[in-house]
Amino acid sequence: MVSFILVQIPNIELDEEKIKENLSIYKDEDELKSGLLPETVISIDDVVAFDFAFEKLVEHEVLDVNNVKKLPIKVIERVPVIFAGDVLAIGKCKKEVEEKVVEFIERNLINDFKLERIEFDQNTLRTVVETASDVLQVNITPRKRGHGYPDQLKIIGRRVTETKVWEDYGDEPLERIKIIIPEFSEEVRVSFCKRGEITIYNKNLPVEIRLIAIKYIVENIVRPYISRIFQSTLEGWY
Amino acid sequence: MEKFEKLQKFQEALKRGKLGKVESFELWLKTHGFDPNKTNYEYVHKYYLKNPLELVNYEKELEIIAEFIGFYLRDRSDIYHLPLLGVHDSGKTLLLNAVNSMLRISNEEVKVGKYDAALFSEIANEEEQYLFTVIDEITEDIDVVILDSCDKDRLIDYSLQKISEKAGSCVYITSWSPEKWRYICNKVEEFLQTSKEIYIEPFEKEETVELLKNLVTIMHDESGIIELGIQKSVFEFVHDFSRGIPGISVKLFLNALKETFLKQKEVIDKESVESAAKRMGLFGISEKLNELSELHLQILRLILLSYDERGIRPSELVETIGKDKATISYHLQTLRSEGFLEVERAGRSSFYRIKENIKPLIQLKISEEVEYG
Repeated sequence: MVSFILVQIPNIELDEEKIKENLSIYKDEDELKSGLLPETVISIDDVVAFDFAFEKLVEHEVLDVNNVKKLPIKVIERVPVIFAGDVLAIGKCKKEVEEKVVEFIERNLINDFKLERIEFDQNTLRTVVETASDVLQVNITPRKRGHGYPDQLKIIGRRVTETKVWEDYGDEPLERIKIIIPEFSEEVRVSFCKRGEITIYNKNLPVEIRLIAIKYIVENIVRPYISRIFQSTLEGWY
Repeated sequence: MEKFEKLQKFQEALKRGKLGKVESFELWLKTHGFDPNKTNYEYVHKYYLKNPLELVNYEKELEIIAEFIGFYLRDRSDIYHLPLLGVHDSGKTLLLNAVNSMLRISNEEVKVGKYDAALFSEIANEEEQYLFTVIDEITEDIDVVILDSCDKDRLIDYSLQKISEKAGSCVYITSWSPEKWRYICNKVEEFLQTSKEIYIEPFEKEETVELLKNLVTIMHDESGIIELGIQKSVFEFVHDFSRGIPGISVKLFLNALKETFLKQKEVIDKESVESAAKRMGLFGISEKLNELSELHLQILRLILLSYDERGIRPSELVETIGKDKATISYHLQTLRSEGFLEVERAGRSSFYRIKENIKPLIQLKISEEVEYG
């Protein structure tokens, strides 16, 4: 299972060789290095992906002569980053790490542009549910409150939209949906959260298919949505 | 009873207990050559799962399956589907386990995946149903996919389609109750053609005798050498009540042992078997089955087709059969009083289900009806 948040960016063309050369973590001269791991750069069908990595210090307990002492050691943390046209997918991580990744991208790849996190509104989630070949999960927060109504509802199954519970609660606000995207050599199971997080569930999914799936999601679900939000009052995340 | 006399009797009982003179079934088993820890259905089932080569019968079914796998292995390019059909307690799980074990110990390089379809709808991890864990696990180079309990997955057509799309060319061996397979086979055929249906027939009398002799050996207390002295006619009597369904034969024999103890007999005999058969609802069931009307058989078939473990609600039958509520209730009560059904109440609803012990006999009857009429 791998989760991403989506960020709106200007449509840029990344030169695989140039970014390997210019942004490599191995060329950073800071005490704690950061940058992309050149060996992870991969591009397929106009989608470019790499792992952003940074060094940090963690305290490690070691044995001294007569006691245990703490030594700071350097470790690296990595976050997958995918450029798919005008959408950037960043692997789910802690807020401070996410800010670090965004700062790196703003500084090195996209100048003079404030990156905005994309969220999904009800219309988008509902359209995805209605057009999906199969829905595997819906999380619902019913508007109706009080005795006899659940506060929250999570329906997990196969063909969820053919069930009685969906018939009863399908009109209520959607929090998260999980569908099957069928157009690949292997079906991809993806969830969309209203806060903009997407998750790919398949284990052992080849990285190439993962990238193509992200591209599919961007082109068929996110991009039509982005064109709408330019006219809306939605505010950016950063 | 005087106070002193009460105390005296209590103390005498304590002494008897210390001398091992307690009338417990466990002790009775021990003194009659059985290991109490082994004399139960769960142990016997696990024993056969661990020792598949000791299974009685199933040679014919195993050979058919092996031939198809061998045929597939010549170029590993085709798809074969072998639905294994058998009533409840006929030994489908043990047979599939035997196929899996024999493939693993054979010298062939065969990649096998064995899964329990009854668990497909359960949430495994990360809010994902177990089915998707299985799909992720299966790779294109798999040779044999074994799916047990396909009749217990409400969306088995969906599951099978997804699995077959992922696995591609291989041998699919799936297990079903006959009535569920008949109900769903056309849907499955749309994406997975049946190569050959394999039907697990009930045991012949001699096979049941062999099974029960084997059972006695498994449950025998290894620490002592005791001649059990069970007559062959007792085993044959068990066969007659169980109609050759191995699971029922084992359960009936175990219950008959308990009856032997309760009746304070030394050796299991026909009378103990008959008492156990009465307790299990097997006594006279064949005659009752022959007297069932078409509507009764239809009701029983619909209950068998239900995926709800609790059974079926009368309202569902009203809708499906198209008779009024009073008529359906009357027939359900009749079937209940005849010993076919039991009822579970949940809130305002009543769920009717077939009694576990006689389920295979009803399945056999319904299979025969389909076959002959």
